[in-house]
Amino acid sequence: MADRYGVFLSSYNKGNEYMDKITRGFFEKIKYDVDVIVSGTEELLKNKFQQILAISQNTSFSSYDKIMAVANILEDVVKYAVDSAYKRNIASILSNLLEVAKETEDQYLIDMAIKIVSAISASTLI
Amino acid sequence: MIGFLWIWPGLIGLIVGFSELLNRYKSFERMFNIYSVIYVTINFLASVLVYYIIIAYDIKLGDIGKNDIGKIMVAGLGAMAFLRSSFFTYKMTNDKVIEVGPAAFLGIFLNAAQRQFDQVLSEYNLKKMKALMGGINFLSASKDLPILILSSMRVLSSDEQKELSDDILKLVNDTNTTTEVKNVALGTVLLKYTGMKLLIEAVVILKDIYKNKVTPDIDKIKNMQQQLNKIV
Repeated sequence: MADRYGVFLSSYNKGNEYMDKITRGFFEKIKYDVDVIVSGTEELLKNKFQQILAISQNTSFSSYDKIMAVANILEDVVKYAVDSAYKRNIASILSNLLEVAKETEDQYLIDMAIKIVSAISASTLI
Repeated sequence: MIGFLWIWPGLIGLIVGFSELLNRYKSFERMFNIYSVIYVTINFLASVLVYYIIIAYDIKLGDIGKNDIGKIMVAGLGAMAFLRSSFFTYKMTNDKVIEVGPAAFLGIFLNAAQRQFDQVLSEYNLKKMKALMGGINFLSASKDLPILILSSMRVLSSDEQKELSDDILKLVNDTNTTTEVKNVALGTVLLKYTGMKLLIEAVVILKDIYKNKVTPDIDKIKNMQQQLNKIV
């Protein structure tokens, strides 16, 4: 069943230079905040954001897969953001994720980004 | 003695000509117009001509030429190739080969008919695409529309999926073309695989999905960003 559009999807994601450009920009913008958290003291966040660093350097993922992987990690950590000393850094990264969702207009990413930010909104971060 | 056997290579040539158009445009829709009729008629006549030449000049075709069926097949399936064969070329003293046969002559008519047919079909498709694809969100549609279509179709091979992706990515990665033109081009690219009816249905469904989702979501994102930026 997946083969009906699997080749198309894989080829589309790999060859999407527009998405590559947006993804490169995203990782550049969040680098400072990720570095702050990785060199910080909160172990759980440190580990998770080290994964984000690794994803940004991974060459076998497509740009779209990288962004989705980062979104998945952010979804995992967002519940810790409220009590974290790195609340501002996480808010900045989330803002950049929303920017990517807005620029790419990818419905799945938009839904996911809204879901993540809504979760912390409910937890009174916003 | 030719008798009425000439009709058979003619019919085979006609089917070959039609299959060439079908292979290029991949649909029966809008296939019948004056130019497609001229195109297949030239193929018909070329096949009959080749059959006549084979009989009249008693051309040796090897084992296949030992009976009428073989001659009919050669004339019907390979008319244009036969007319381009060494039988119709003349080698000059300076090693230059010149074509003396009717292949080049028939080729001019074939190309003209095909070009006109292509123009008629393109004009119809462009008009339809402009109306259909107008106002659609190109970036989302460049991925969502093919997936919507591919998930319902069963016949697209891996090579065709790759070719479709390559064609669409040229539009996605191009930064100098307007979104409106990209929308029309996206529809035209997909039309080759879907035919008009399926494409219209898919676009209507997609527009319906987008109408209910994207615009309010973008506003929501902007609002969320403003709130996050206050914390930052």
